[in-house]
Amino acid sequence: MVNNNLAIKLEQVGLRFHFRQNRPTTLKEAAMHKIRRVQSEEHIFWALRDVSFEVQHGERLGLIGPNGSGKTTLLSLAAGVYRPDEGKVTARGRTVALLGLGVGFDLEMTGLENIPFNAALYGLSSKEIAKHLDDIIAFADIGEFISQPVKTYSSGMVARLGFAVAAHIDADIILLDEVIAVGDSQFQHKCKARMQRLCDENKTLLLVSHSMEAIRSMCHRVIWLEHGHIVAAGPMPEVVKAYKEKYADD
Amino acid sequence: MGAITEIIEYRFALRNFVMRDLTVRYKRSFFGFLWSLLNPLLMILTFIVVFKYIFVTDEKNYSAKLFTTILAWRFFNQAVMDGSATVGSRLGLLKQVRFPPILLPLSSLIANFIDFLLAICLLVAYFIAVRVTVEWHYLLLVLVALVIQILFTFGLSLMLASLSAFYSDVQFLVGNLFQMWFFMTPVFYSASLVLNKFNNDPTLPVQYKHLYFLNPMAPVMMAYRSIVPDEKNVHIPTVIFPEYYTFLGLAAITAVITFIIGLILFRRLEPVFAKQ
Repeated sequence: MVNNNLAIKLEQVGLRFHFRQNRPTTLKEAAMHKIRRVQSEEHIFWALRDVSFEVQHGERLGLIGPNGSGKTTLLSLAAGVYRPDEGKVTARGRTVALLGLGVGFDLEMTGLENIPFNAALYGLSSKEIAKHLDDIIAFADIGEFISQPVKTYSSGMVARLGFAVAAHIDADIILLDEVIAVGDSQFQHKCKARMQRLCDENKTLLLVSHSMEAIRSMCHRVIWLEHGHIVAAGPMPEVVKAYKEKYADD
Repeated sequence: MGAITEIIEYRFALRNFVMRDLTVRYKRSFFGFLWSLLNPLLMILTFIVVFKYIFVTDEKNYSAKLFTTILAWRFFNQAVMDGSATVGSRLGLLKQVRFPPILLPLSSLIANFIDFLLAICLLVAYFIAVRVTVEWHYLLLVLVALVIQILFTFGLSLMLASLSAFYSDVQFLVGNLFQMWFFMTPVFYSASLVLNKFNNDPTLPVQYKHLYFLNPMAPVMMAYRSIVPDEKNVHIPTVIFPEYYTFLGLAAITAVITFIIGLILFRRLEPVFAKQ
């Protein structure tokens, strides 16, 4: 059966990392290891395993779990940054992912030059970008720094510009990793207002957050991850309640 | 094939990568462009001093030939060097945004090609200033050589760029090998010197000669030299080297194979770039 309203679907997805003790990081080391016949043991670490869920268009899903539980990795998978080693990931529609601060900025280029550079990575044309340019600049609100190279920015400024670009891309699916927690209170307020607007516009949202307040105010459904597995998934109040019971001090 | 649709879909990003390379290289000014030519110009000057006053060469139009081949070699050297660092230096970006990684080596190649075309304008100005008349009927040969060079360059860039995701010293190694390669290729000397050695000394095994010309850049550089006239006709590749077209054909085959291997390697490794 074809589900036309489907935004993201993960089917028994697994992602693994290979760790090798004293893995050569240069060609010189690799050659030395060959000559000396250095044996290195390989450890496989599954960052995610057997993860399945669906997100419908217009649905807002929260991802919670302790550090290292695979939340960001899951977001990266949905964004297409990683390709799954097992299972299948489907995402329908233009996806914007803010997986960190100042995603994909070039430090040598100015903020003004970085806006089209960044937006083009999401497949936007110069015309589409030009339409939003003034809004992005106004939203970032970093004054004269907009025409300075990004390497001169403070981390707060980078975050502002990064969020400003991502928030103005007309995407169907938005993936956010803890970005609301950055910047001063004034900027946080602005972010929240913008997020609320995205919610009102019925955008599909995947939100990683440690802030139960943010999850509560924005998400319909929540997935609780631990050690790369889904512990619980369901309507927001139930999962948040269960999570809070386990981590009582939160 | 999949690569082509990806590139078309992300053409705006590709253009931005190219613009980025050029703005950073030229530091936003025409003077920056001239400044970037300082290295080849000094190199040309050095070879002119060495071969006009120390090891006196009897070649006509030596400077014009040198200017042509040094610029072509610079395009090759710089494009492979830049290309080989693209993936390794952009791992951070690859971990955060989904885009076809092939944009990285491709944009680096395009930026270097534009840089080469700009340098050619300077070369034309030089030809006019010193009144060198170009042998127009060899232009087709030059274009064929250019296509071979670009394919070969891109193939090498793809291979080295995929390695750079795993090893941090790829560019360092490439830089050192290029120094050797430069001397083993007829860039600042005529291939006729090499051929004369073999003709005058029958004890030299002919395999060595073949080995020398199996370097794809050797017939390519000979093609570039052919546009600068010379009274003794030593600039014409087929005059000094009867088997020239065979070796040019072999260079073309080498370039195509390098490109195919590079592309396959890159496409096979790109899913794990972001995991490094």
